[in-house]
Amino acid sequence: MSEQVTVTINGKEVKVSEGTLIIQAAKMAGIDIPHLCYCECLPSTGSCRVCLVEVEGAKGLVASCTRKVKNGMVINTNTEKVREARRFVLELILSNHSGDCMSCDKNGACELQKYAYELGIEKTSFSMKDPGYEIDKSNPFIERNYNLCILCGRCVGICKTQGADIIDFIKRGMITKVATPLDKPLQESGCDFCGSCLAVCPVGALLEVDRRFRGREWEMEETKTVCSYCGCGCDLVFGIVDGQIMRTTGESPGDFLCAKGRFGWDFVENPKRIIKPLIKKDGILTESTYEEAIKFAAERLLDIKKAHGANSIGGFIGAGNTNEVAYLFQKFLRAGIGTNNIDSSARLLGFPALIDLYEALGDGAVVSMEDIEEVDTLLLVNADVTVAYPRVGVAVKRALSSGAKLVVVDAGRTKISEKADIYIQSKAGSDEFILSGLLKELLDGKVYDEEFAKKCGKFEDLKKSLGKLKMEMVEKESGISKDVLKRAAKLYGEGKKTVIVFGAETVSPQTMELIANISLLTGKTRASVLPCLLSSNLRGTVYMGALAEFYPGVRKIDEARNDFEKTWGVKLPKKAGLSIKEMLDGMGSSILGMYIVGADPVTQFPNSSSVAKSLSSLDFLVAQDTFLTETAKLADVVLPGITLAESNGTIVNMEYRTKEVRAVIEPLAETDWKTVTALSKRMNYTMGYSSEKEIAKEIKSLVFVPKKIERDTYSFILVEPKVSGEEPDKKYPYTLIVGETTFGFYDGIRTKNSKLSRLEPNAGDYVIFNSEDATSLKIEDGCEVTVKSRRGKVTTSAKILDFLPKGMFFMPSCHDKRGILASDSIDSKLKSPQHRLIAVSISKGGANK
Amino acid sequence: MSSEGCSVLITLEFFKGFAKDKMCGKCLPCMLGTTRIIDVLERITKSEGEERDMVVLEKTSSNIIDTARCKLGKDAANFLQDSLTSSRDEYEEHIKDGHCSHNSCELLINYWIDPEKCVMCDACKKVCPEDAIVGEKLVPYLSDNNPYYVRDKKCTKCGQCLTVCEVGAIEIV
Ligand code: SF4
Ligand code: SF4
Ligand code: SF4
Ligand code: SF4
Ligand code: SF4
Ligand code: SF4
Ligand code: FES
Repeated sequence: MSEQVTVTINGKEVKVSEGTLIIQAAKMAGIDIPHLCYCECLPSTGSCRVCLVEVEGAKGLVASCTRKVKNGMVINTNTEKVREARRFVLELILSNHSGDCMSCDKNGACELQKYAYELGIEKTSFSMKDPGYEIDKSNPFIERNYNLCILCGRCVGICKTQGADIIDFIKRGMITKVATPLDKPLQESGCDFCGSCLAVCPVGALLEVDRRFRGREWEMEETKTVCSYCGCGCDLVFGIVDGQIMRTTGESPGDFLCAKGRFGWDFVENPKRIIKPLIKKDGILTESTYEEAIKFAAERLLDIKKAHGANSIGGFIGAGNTNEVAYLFQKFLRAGIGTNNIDSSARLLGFPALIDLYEALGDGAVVSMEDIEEVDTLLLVNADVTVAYPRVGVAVKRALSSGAKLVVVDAGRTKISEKADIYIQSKAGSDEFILSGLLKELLDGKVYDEEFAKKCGKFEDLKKSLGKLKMEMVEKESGISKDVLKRAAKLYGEGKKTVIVFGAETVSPQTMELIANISLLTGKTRASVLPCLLSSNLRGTVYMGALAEFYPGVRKIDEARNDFEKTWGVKLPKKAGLSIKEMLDGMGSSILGMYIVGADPVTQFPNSSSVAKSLSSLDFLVAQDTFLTETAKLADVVLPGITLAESNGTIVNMEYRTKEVRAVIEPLAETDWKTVTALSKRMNYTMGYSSEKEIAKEIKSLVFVPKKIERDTYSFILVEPKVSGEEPDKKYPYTLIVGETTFGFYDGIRTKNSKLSRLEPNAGDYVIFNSEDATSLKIEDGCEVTVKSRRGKVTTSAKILDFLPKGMFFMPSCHDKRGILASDSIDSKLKSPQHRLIAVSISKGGANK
Repeated sequence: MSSEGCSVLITLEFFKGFAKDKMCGKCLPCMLGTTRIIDVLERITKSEGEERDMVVLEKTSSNIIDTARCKLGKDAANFLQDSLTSSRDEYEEHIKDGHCSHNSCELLINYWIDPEKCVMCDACKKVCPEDAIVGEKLVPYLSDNNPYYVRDKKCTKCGQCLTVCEVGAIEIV
């Protein structure tokens, strides 16, 4: 800890640590020094000069946001001289500020207004000069009115570290203006719409479009909750006026949120939401009452159970529900209906990687975002962090800005790969070769932690198997030269504090095992990794036992059945449960009834035409969801679901933090937990909870509070590298990669029902060609193309962008038809399909030609 | 009165140069203050000065000295302060009398035809593009004695008459 010093501020003595800024020291003493350019989350620029103070003995006034305290300093923050100086600066600003507080949404929260009032400025003594800029209203999220801009530079600073680094000061005559290169609109300048600039702007120059004229600062009711898009689980504060969502912010202005977290909530209030239950009558879904729908669904499911046994029923739940709902859901199926046929979309989104990781390293190896900011070397494997898991992207960028080194392994030329020291643009599906090659180079180059590695099991076997690995084969399969891998291994191996960040849903189980091996081999940091999760509660869903093979607490069915029979007080089914793929295969014969909550397998699961066929062959399908998804359209009963913005409960984010979710508005429909209990009760299994809190209590009492499990013995896993994903052949010579985009999210159901879709080109209906393939296939930007796989074909439009290497194409995961193309063949161990790499053929023109 | 030329104009040119080349625009008081100073000085040289402008200039410069981030801004403000102190009468003359004694501020100068020298040749009236000169060519015994003079309101100070007058009767005052 640094030395404590004593300073006197306005006659008050305070002890602060050496090196503290005067403005900070004053804050600790309870004194607010007016400031405009300074923001705690940013490096000081000292440009506005509003924070000037008098320091005894110093020549002239001193900017308190740049000057550090010294022992014995005597500071006066509010003398007449200081006030005069502040008044001068504010009057200058005001003479250039053509705003009207009357109609400005910042009124009441505006820092300029606040200080002008405090200093008693009625009117500027300078003559008014209207900057005369046109207000930019061209994007759906941020209204930019530079007539109100006070040139504090906060937005410029934060865009550098959290955004896309696209805005800066440009000279406009004698006066400066904030602008993108060439002063183009944000949406044409590569803006990520993280809204960080908006969050730090002290005045009304940058405002949420949605908020204009819908409620003032003091009318806003704020509720803290967690973002339910990606697995980063950022904290959100919703501002609500009259029960409607006005805006979303982080807890403090400098907290990062991505476009989805900050602007993607209008889907919650979208009129297309399902509010009333629907029952299919003569093939048409018709509105009914809640009572009637529950009764009907329960009776039909009971009939099926009676006639064909409990195991003819299955359940599927999305990995974006609260722990409480996931827990209830599996309890209802196991204890209420009596089957282990339970699965969740976690199966598609990285659950296998998590289980593998858990077995190889224990959860203790998982680091937090803060940890990432402090490492000196990062290895990113298939993780388009700034796009798919944006908060991780910011952590990585922050680490880089404090000097960390970066190795990126990714087929796609992602934004973060541009910042890499070594970028390994692998061939899609060749990760296992690349990582095996890296392992070998780490060993051969002797840049590993021998002491630690020796303590791990199978080290000798690993050495032997890597000894046999031919680098020529690695080069051939991955297209990456040995030298590059050698350099990457050296860079990574020499790091003192390292982390491997990877996209859990993009890696194969074997890739995951190789990642574990690398972290064991460089074990000095005790193997630190961050599996990036796409879904907000993937960990929680797995932990709550919403999977065939595990009870809550990731306890194996056979081992824990007795315990759960005791706690739940019922006989539990012995028969192993089926995974979603197995259920789909059995539909129409062994599986006759399904209950699906908050998930849309028709869109999400690969080979969607066959999924739709399977679901249609069921005797009875109940779907519970917020929108009428493709799956819900096939249901016999549709029960309304709610979004996380209307739910209370908890989720577990990718860092393994349990976070509290709070309803920010009154739920538009019955809550999910109540619907599950109502259905259960009607099926003669009463669960009798009175609130989400009680469910949480039960979970807690079973000691299933998710926590990291530390391990003390480790073992390497021997992996024979293979090409992952579907292999191309003569008929389907190309590889299609399905991945995330900045303004789309997973199956797109939320982003498409939000204004976010306005920023996704063609609402996600496109496929990316690199220019080489485009030339050889004679494709122009925007022209119609047909993508064909072994399962089916999709007509879409071409977008030319050098993102992937030759022979590889990219399709956004929010493309509604990508499921038609993907392969649903599953691996035998964890029963999850490698659906993100698809062998395809591509031709010009529509499908009907 | 300084000898090198009109102090107001010199200061204005100095600030224009400063704003164009030296000022970095990294702190508000200097950037905004400088543009304000330029505005005021420009008005003064156009005979649109107001009495309170002196106070505005004094306060702005002393405030910039107190608040600007770096020496560049402070030095610029000091330049104005020095000029205000040493040539106060010049500034006041511009503002109060609308007069530039160096005859440099274009909009403050006047063209005057000295009747003692004028030979009433009509050369200036012919050349004046603005029709700002009145008078009648002297034709012995025929014409009345209509002496030549410049109508200040119409004159744009282009200086063409000056060059054609052979007897040097036109002066800038
Ligand atoms: S930005 Fe602030 S000072 Fe300007 S109009 Fe809005 S509330 Fe008023
Ligand atoms: S929204 Fe984000 S990326 Fe866009 S300008 Fe603002 S800070 Fe930069
Ligand atoms: S837009 Fe806002 S944050 Fe950016 S410089 Fe202007 S006042 Fe500051
Ligand atoms: S990074 Fe993820 S959790 Fe955070 S705001 Fe964006 S989508 Fe939400
Ligand atoms: S005072 Fe210095 S820092 Fe400030 S704008 Fe002028 S030249 Fe730049
Ligand atoms: S200065 Fe030009 S406009 Fe004025 S009187 Fe002479 S010629 Fe005419
Ligand atoms: S807050 Fe210190 S100079 Fe702006």
